[in-house]
Amino acid sequence: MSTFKACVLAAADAVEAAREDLGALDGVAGDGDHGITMTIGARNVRQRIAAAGDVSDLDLLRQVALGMGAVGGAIGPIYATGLLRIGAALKDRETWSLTTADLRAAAEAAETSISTLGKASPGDKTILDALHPLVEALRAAEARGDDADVAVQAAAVAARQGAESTATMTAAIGRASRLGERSRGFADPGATSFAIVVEALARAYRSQKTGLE
Amino acid sequence: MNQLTAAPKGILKKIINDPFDAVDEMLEGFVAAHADVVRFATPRVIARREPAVDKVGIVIGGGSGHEPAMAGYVGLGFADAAAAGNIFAAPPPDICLDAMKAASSGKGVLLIYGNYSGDILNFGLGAELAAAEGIEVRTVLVTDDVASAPRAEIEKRRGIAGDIHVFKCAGAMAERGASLDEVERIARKANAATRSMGVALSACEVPGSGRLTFDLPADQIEIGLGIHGEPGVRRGPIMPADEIAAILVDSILKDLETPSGHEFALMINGLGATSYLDQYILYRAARKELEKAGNTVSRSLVGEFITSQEMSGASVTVTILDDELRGLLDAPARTPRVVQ
Repeated sequence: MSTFKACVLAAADAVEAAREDLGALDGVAGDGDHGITMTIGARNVRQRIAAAGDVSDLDLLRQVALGMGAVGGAIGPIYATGLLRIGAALKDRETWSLTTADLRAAAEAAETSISTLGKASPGDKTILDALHPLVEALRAAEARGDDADVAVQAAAVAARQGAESTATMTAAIGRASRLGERSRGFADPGATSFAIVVEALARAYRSQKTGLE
Repeated sequence: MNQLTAAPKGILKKIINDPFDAVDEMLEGFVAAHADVVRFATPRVIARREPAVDKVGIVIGGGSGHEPAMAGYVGLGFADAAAAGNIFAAPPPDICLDAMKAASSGKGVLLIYGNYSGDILNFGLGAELAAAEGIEVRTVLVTDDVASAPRAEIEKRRGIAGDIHVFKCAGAMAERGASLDEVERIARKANAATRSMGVALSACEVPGSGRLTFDLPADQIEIGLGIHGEPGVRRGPIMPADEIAAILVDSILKDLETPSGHEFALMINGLGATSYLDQYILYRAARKELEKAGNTVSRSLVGEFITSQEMSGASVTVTILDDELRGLLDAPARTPRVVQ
């Protein structure tokens, strides 16, 4: 199994394991179904990966994009667009031993596409508040000349810190924005589930790399 | 069965199996029960049993969990296809595209759905895909909920029960063989003539989520609360129906150019758990308020048209009628929800 496939499956498991917590968080300013929504996405992704069989990492990425896109709502198109843009950014990479520069370019492509599609910016209390710090962390890692493994771990920490910082914000767009001040004090569910995804990818990536040594 | 595959536990009693299968099982039951009128075009697109030809196609849709909306409005005199998403979630672009293809007979497609950002995103992407396949697509967003934004920002308002009047007028116009320009004009006219406002008494639960969609103390009601639990304009103690009706009708009439002299179609929409006893009492009270203000009511609908599962509450919807809109509301229809 490729490193990428192992990482994606680990992320799917982590998202599904967090279903109740994400639902509770979403119950504050939303309708409480973010955990279920992300679980539907995780199951779609697993099904598509299993059905795809032995394909390239780029094709696998496309399956992940389609699997997440199929959940619809607000989060579906956001993941689909971001992942497809990552695919476009990495399409010339024959094999997926990705450099820090590759990861940085991919994350930047995702952020631009999501920001454009969702008409959101950092500070609006959305997934971008976890994604933008992740991009910044990868830029810093690239500037320092860090290896991909170090960069990935730093990216996960940045995403989690970004997600936690949304607790102090009030939502500017989406359903929660109608709640105004009532949404302050609780983190954004979309940013939080994104942090869970990235942390799981980073953990799986590390254990894959360690296993190979 | 491990933690990852165990069916999630909800908190309200429901008649469901695995919550993750709820939407698909509901649609299968729906299509089987109404097979005289509808069929599956794809597993998440409900289309007319006999596709219409040589007319503008009407596509409606949105999240599931609002039954009988939206599939209940597919059929003669209403829509040609409905795209169904997960509970309270807009359907993804490919499903929206499937609905547009099922509805298209070469004279263009009009999308009509409630003004919600998820729906705009997904239907919008679907419309781009349809345009790439040569289907001309226009969109009308329903914005009848006066509680959701001030009059100066009317384009930000949510679509609630007013959907049904807009579907009916546009559907009837399309049935006459009108052009896409004319059907769009009618849909915009019906939307502009429609105002709604609701009151919520208790919340619903997205199957398997384990929590209610909003918190509302047992002795309180919330005026203006949305069909997904979006916050309203006022929360307070339970009050008599006449007082609720006075507040709702007053808000609606204040939102019009003039509060009097109109002929209205009046709809009371139950949100799913409110009895018909309550609905008819609210109708009586709302009608009295409209008439007291110098208006007449010539067409009426009372019932569950767009629900929020077991949410209790109801909304008042009025549409200002002229000869054109009245004729379209009166036109024949045959769908799972409406037969006339």
